[in-house]
Amino acid sequence: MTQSIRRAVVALASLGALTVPLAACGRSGSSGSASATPAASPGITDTQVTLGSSQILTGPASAYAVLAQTVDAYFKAVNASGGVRMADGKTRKVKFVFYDDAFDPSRAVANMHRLVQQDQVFATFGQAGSSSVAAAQDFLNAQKVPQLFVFSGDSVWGTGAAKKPWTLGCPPSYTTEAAFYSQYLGQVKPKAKVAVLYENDDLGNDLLGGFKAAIAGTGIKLVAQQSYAVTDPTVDSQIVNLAHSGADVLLDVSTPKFAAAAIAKVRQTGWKPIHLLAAVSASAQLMAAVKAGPQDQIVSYAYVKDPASPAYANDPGVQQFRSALKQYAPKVDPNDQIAADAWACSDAMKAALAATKAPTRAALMDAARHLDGVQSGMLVPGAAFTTNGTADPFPLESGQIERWTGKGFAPVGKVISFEGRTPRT
Amino acid sequence: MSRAVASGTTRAVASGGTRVVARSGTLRAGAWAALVALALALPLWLAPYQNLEFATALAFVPVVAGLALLTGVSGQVSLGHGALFGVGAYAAAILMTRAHAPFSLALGGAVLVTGLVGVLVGLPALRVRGMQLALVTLALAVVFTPILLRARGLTGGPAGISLDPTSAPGWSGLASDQWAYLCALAVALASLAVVAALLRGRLGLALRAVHDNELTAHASGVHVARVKTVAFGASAALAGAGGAAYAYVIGFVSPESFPLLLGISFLVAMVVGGSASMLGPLLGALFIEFGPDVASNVNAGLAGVVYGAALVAVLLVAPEGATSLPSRLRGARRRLAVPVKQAEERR
Amino acid sequence: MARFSQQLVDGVSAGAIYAALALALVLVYRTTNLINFAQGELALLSTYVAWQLHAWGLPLATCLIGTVAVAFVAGAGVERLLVRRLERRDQLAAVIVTLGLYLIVDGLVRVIWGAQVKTLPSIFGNGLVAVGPARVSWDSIGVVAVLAAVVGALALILYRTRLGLAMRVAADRPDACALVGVSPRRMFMLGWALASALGALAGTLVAPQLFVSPDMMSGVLVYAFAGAVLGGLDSPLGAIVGGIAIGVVENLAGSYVSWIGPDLKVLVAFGAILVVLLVRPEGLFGMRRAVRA
Repeated sequence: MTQSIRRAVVALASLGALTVPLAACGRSGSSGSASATPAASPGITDTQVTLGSSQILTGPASAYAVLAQTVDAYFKAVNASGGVRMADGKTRKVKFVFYDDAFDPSRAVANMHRLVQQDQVFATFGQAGSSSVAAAQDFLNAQKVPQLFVFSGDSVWGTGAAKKPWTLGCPPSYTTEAAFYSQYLGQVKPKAKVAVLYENDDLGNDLLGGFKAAIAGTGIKLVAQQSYAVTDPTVDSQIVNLAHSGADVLLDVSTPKFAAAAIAKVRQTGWKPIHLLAAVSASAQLMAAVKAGPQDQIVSYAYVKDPASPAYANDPGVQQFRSALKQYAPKVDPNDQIAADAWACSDAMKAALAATKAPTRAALMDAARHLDGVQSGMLVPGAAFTTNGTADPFPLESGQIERWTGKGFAPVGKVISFEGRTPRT
Repeated sequence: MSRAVASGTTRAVASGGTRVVARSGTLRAGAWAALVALALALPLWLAPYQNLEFATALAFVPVVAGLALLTGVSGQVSLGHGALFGVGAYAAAILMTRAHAPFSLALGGAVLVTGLVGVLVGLPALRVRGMQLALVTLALAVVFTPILLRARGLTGGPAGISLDPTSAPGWSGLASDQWAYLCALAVALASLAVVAALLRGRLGLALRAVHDNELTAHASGVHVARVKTVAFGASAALAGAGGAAYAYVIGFVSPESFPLLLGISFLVAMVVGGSASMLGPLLGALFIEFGPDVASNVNAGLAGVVYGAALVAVLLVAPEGATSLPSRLRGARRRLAVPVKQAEERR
Repeated sequence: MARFSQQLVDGVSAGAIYAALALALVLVYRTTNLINFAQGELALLSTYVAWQLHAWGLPLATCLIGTVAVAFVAGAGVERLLVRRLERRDQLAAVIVTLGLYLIVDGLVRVIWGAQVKTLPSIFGNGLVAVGPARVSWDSIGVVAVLAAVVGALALILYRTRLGLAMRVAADRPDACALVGVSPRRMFMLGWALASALGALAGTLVAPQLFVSPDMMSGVLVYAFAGAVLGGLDSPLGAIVGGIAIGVVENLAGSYVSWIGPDLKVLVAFGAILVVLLVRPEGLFGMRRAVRA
């Protein structure tokens, strides 16, 4: 026993000897509170503004790596033509810093901490992944750092704007998309019986919730709903159940791999519903992969031009997008829908910077929350970014219903706008 | 896998050809004290975001230690420690938000709940010889996220649970990130102490006996299934403790935070760090926390490949993990020093 | 009734997918006593190779045969270079290294081919056939038929040929091998090679239904394991029966048991593993092993 007592004494003694002088040490620099001088926020000088982001570069959702590469190319192109002229009169180049979080929310939090404290970014932009955005949201709002144009359609970024004013979405929220589908059905099948296939995450739940809110009080009825987990191998049994529900419309809120399986299984069952497909899966590439044709009656919603569509082959906005990608990010496939989405959101970011009247984060946030019909070469003609404080916290609420013809997506009707009217669930 | 060494006495333990010689107890205690002192002082020097990263690594330490206890000593593999980590994280998050429990109580609750889940899940698998536990825990890892999404009333569904930011108590004079780090450090050190104590005791002896030869152990009166279940339950409880620390440090839990890949990462941590000493879990945890960033710098897309390659390389070169390297090097040098004639005679 | 029979038929189709992978898992286990967690990913890699060959213009049948042959050789290589070195030391290490393989192959596939969904056509065509009120694709029928043939061939090899006897001796009594002139090392290599070829076959057979993407096999793996455990980890016939049983139960439970529902179907796999281990650990067709001191 004496041996262990002796050991304990030595341990405590060394512990004490080492920690006493160390405890006296402080730490240089503050613990992250805003050390900005009243004149300017960190991350912005007269010639440069720094934007940061946490991106999904590896791991299961690595399809979104294209997002970071496209944004990087966008700002390289902007810098090559001189930079962004901001409303305080100065023209600044944009430095875009981003780290990988592999869709792990804890890494996203760590990345945002590092971006704010070490890289001293002016604002964060284009963060991908709903749970990562939610994880970092508290920190960024507490630090009053803009969390701008996050790449997630979760409606909570808009509906929570009063409590979390420093967070702003970019793609149309899922509830907006649901409103589009409800309106479309109201025009072509006012007494539609709808069956829903949805992924059991924020995409599926949010869109379904928005749809239910949008069809309330109309003749459209929800007759069946079947969810699936991302870890499921197939959605066959769900489709079969929906096919036997007597519905004549299928609302398909699934990600590409499952959308393909759903389309194939619907064909097999002989059920011939109108197949409303969530925008996240409605790309020409996927349609080609499943050899979709007009008989599949696939209808979706677009707010960004599909670069693979022959209709936009000579479109100047798309050509600018393609040439910039070719020059600054040659590995990115210019037909990738995510790249097109990222380009449009980058236009919004640039417009917000251009409208920023003072070199402060508050001024940038104010500009971002008061966008007035900002155009983008990659948005469908007629769609624009509009925000108005908490009255309109959704930047994109306009778009176009489209249907798959077998060769491409063709617009149906005119561009619709739900500006200011996105249903709140 | 090698066995953990009981500290305090000078004993040579043979393990798979590697001789791990324990130093005298006083020197080891002193070395550990120095390490702990360094760990305590670190948050005073580092920037807050670095404290966050180290605190996250410290939250992983109890899980990896639990895995080392399970695998290194009893020879079972668990792929579900990511899910168990998640059980602890959610249990703690729910207690801290719904019941407004302080971290210490939430930690206790998380440990109990996760330990219970571990016993229930492990019991069927551990009654049987073989690798069945690996399969049960694989299924647990896969079923965990859908269950979290389904039980939305309790877990908040896809949105997850957001905790109020931590705040250091006034008397400490510390910033919140420093306080969170120290809490995680306390949990990590306590876990390592618990594992060390378990291994030194009867459980450790029984586990080593079971690992060596189940039949002989059974014949010697060891209740094999019970011992294995207790070990798994203990390793689960440790994972729960880590999860609670994680929830406290990060302040957010979501169904996406605990995929199967996390459980595999913990195994990587255990293998790379090694189970030869209590230092192993710490090294392994640091590897999986900081490794991906380093790998990203090499090549963003290939981070996963680098991870897997590291695992394979360690297994091929130093299966007892990084902590066995010093003794392996010493052994190699000794072998090289033996005169050629003696070596031939031995042959 | 129509819905039920369709669910039943789809359950068999899904089950065939699980059974295909389960067969590869069982083959590795039967011949080497190891669990290969990378089996799904290796099958995925083979599927991508087949897709790539097809994309380069080779006829489908050539792609499939070529892929299976390449997989056979690759499986032997993995055993020889990686698994064998570890197995000598520690069975546990050999199993853990398969997890490392899982990570490596997953990363490689994403980097080389990207995350976009791709298609591989079915060698059985796209047609449908009516089975009572339900519809089945020729592809699904083809998968079941091929599986049955493979199991038959395997059973023949394992239980009626000297080679099969040698493989079983190597697995069950490696210490006795030297007495009968069997090289366990060569038998293990053969076991892995065969399992790898089977995995490639499974992947290419199910790819038309599941679509080729980096996550194609990740959902199947746990169901395949559940099927293998249910049928008996050392029984090829058990893998088929178990896989199909899991597919049917999972489909029906997801549709008709409300608290499981369509999004918690994987609970069936989890539950199956637990129940089998509690009630009959060796599975339906597995052998009960007695251990003598």
